[in-house]
Amino acid sequence: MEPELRPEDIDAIVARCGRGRDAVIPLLQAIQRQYRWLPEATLRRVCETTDIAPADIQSVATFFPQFRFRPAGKHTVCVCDGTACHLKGSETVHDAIAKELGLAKGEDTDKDGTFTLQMVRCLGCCTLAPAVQIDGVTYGHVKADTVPGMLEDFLAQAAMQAHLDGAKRHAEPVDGPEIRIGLGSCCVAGGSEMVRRALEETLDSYAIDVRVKHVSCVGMCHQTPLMEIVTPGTAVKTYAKVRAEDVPAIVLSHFPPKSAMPRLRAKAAHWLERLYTDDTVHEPALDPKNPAVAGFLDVQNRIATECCGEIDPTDLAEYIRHDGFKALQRCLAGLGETPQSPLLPPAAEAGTPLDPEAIIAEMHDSGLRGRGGAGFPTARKWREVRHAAGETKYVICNGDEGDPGAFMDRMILESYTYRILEGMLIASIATGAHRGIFYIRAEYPLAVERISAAISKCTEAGILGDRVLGTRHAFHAEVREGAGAFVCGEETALIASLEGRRPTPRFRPPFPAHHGLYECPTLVNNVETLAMVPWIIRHGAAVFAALGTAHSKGTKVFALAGKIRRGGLIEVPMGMTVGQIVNDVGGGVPEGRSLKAVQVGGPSGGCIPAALADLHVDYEALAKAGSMMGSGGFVVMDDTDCMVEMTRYFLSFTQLESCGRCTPCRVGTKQLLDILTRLCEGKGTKADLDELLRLGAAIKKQSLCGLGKTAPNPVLTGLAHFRDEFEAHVAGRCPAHKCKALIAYSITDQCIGCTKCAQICPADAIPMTPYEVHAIDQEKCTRCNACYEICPVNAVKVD
Amino acid sequence: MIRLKINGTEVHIAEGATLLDAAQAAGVEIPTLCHLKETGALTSCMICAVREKVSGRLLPACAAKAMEGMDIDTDCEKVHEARREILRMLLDEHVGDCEGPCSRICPAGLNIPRMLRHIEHGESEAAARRAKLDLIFPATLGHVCTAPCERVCRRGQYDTAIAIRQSHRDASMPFLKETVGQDTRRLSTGKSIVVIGAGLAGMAAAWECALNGHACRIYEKRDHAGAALRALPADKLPHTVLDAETASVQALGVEFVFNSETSPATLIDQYDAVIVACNLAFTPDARVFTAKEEPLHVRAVGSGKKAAREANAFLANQPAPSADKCFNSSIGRLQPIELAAYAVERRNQADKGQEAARCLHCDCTKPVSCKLRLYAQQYGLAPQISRTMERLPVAPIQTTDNVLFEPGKCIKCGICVEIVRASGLDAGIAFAGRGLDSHLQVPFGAGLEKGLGRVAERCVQACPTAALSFRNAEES
Repeated sequence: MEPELRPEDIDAIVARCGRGRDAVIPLLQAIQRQYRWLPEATLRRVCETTDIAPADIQSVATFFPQFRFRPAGKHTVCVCDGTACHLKGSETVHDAIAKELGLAKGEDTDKDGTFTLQMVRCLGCCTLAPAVQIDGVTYGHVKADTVPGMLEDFLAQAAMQAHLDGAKRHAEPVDGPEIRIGLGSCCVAGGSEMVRRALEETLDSYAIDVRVKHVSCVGMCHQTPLMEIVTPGTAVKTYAKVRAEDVPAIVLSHFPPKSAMPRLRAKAAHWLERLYTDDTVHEPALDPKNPAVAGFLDVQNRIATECCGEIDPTDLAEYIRHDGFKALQRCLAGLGETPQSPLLPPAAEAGTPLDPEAIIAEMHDSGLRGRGGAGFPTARKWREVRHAAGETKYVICNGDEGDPGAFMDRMILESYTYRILEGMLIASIATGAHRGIFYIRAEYPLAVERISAAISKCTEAGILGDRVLGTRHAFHAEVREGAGAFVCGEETALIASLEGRRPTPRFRPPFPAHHGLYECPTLVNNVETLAMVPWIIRHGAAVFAALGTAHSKGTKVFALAGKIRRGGLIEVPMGMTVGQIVNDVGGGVPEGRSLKAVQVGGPSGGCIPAALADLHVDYEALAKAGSMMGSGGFVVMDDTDCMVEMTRYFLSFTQLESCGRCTPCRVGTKQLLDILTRLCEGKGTKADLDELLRLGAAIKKQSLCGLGKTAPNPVLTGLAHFRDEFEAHVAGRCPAHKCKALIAYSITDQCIGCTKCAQICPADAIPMTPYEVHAIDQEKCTRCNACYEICPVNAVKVD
Repeated sequence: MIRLKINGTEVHIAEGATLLDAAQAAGVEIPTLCHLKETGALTSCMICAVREKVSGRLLPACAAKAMEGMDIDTDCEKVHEARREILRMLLDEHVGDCEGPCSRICPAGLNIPRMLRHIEHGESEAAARRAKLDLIFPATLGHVCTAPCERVCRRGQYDTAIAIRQSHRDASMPFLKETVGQDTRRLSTGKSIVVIGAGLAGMAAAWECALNGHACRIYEKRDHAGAALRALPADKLPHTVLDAETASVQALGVEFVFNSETSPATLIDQYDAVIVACNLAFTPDARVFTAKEEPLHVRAVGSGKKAAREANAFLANQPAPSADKCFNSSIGRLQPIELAAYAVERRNQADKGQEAARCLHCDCTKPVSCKLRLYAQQYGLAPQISRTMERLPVAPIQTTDNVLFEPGKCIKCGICVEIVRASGLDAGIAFAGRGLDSHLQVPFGAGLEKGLGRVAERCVQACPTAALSFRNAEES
């Protein structure tokens, strides 16, 4: 049943979101939440009752694919097509779901209106690739044959309404034993919610009193869900890939029940369980001394992700215990006042006061550069805003992480909420701003929720408000949700979208530091940059500057994903080589495969070939290799990946995300994409390769904003390092057997007639012939690779 | 005041001025499409690229502010290539015909849609004049032409082609004995041209030369003009028709010399130029031009016109005209589904049963003032662009009583959006979608009339292409 359209519902939404033009996106989001699409009548009502003109609402609403103009099913199935998911077969998953839902071509909603299927750009769960999100629930490592189970599971869960509503145990003792569960999005998708429930049940039924703590992301996303047992006096024990059914055994081995009765019961249960399940207890404890684990953790250097996996991201008191807001105290003291708060240790203990100029000097000495991609010196930006004329100034935390294959901003926002808030507060003192905005992608609901919670807690605690920690410095912060456009990561577009205008970038200068939000001086800093700030103030610029290379200081957080053994969120010193990151931190590519290239910096970065594995990763070196730091996506490709197809994939992303304002980006990226598509279809010519180079150079030079200026990077680096593969496509061959038009599937005599392939084929190209050698109808075959993957005897051949 | 150099010359300009302002102050022309003083810099087309010499960067002159000490180049090859690249992109995106497919294929270049509009509006003399000036033998060809135009007529792909040949025949027959078009004859140049051969090619060449003010004589070895056409039976081509159109050439002052076999070599020293319009071998000479008699009569006329253009340019000391006279964008073949939408949208609602009114008017309504075509010409783009990307689908045309909106010709500059916004219009045309899919749309389906409101005329004038145009096409 469609909810009825009632004007008073819209009026209530308007009353909540506001009537100004800058309320456009919040209004549209609220309406869509209510109706699951945007019925025209609701938009007309908004125009009648607010200052928003029809032209404004149209130009903004149609810009974001998030907004729907036709009815949607009850639940939205989002198949992630981020880089990592694409590499691992998201298209196959998409087709399998479409088949399961019985969708005809061009349809996206099933007949009874239960599910709407969408392909989305990066859910930021790259280590779980391919990932699917149904409403709020994320499923990782989805395969064509697990699709029916996934949909059933979701419906069962929805029926139980059992998302995250369990009572949480929060005991206060700090030094006692505790059990930590990772509850970052990856861990939840990996099943940590099930583990949490099993844990609560176990503790209840055996009457074990132990603190259960939900901790931030550990970064070892390849091992999720993770559970850590901390008992005073003994080493921390980490269990990886924990299954709900393993929980009782793990808990009981550490915490034997106290009274005799429960102990007896426990033993009996344990014994019974073993008897009936005929399965040895799965106990995948991770030994920190294990070279693999040590390799992943030891070479890392935690600054932005300090205290990772130790603290509860929603616990303000714990953040304060870990030196939280000490840096803020020093900076406030620099304004000539004594910050006071019953929650914090005396300000004097925090260190010598730093006045705004001194804060900026500290940033300057640290050599910190913007972590959003371009690497602009942070101190210079802060100084510009500080000295810009204007009473009202803003600080914006740019959390519109749109790169497919990047998820570090999400992790940082989810896991280090107070630190980013502290970084923003320090920036506000240095620049003289009194309002802050967290601009966060709507695709990151947990990040939105946690930052919002942190803002209210800090407001209650007097850390935010008219008098920050009792001083004259006023600072208010709010969260605004982005609506899913890559270009909104560009600061002028971001500002336009906050103002409710169509988010197209404008020519700079003037820069936002002078003409930003509502024409006021505005500081726009990336999430990671702000997360670095408190650490630098606490440890001193010199300590930070001692890390890294000549011009790139400190550490960089990367989202390591793709064809790699240990993916996850990593933080390493600048200057580490590509090879070290891939092999030492990530454990190399999976067994039997070889490293082909690494895509750094998202779709507008460039591919760095295996031959350049000794390249030191810093801003300058990456730029010189035709790539860029970008926001820090680090996607590994192996020898089964086709570089032409990957280049085409990256261009399909930038082409779709182009705002359309300037000619080179709007038209040029489509021209590049069409040539690449021709190549992938075996219809390319040698002249096409020259045209790619010519067009690429022109788009780079003539585009208005960073999106267009960097969009040709994958093409240019691809041609520079893998020209032979491009030429092979001109000759009609795809050496990696990836390009569908250039390959054919067939079934060999090894086939045992098990019909698995016939069942899974989304195109019904394999007739159901039990016990006979199967055959593939080449006309129907969509070359989705599902049969190849499922065949138990390797009887499917690709040529 | 800011001091900077533009193409090496020092320019002084007030602070806050753009590079475009500075260039204009210095009398340097920079092409612009999306720029309009009142709307400010929209930085959409990026054709106004100029080069900052020190950094080598390309800057959009409309938006980049003039800064002290800048050294700007607006005219170097790098800048030109950048502008050509932009034009190639915009034209790759362009879904529109500069000329109708019928005119484009006509070897004599008859502006068919225009002639048909005259007929439709009852302007019979204007229609006859158009036919005469373009075809020279509109009545003769109206009898004998194989009408390649009708084979490419889009209406024909939809239902049945316009009877174009019959139309120009009917248009010209009533004016056979009149002096239609002769008033365009220029003043005498004092130069003389001789044409060998009095077939359609030769006579067409002579007519054109005479119109250009040259004294002109035709030598013909036979005793009559029109070559083999005279041998046709009267039911195919009445002699009176051919005679009347031959007479119109004579009336322009062209002298016919029959029964006279000659050669360029014997004539060249007595005339300023020779046009050979028959199968005659001769030694090449810069002063000798050739037209070809062809079995396809209209091609013979075209060939004669071309030879005359070459000879005229030679006599005026101008470079030889290029093969194609003008840049031409073309949609190419329409998919069946597009064709239906295209034809339905453009079909004249009140076609009154009149043949000419069935024309879909595929030609551009702004063939002269379209800046895209102008710059394509100016920057030397190949007359027909080869598309890099797949042609975008044909989008339906939208109309008001006197304005047409052709989405395929829109370059998404946003000038009309800004004009409409500034006018405080309630509905207001605005962008929808993004990227390549960005398009103009009137909110809530309110229609173009409401979308443009009282600033419609202003929008049409400011539109750099024919995306917005008046219903009445401008004269080409």
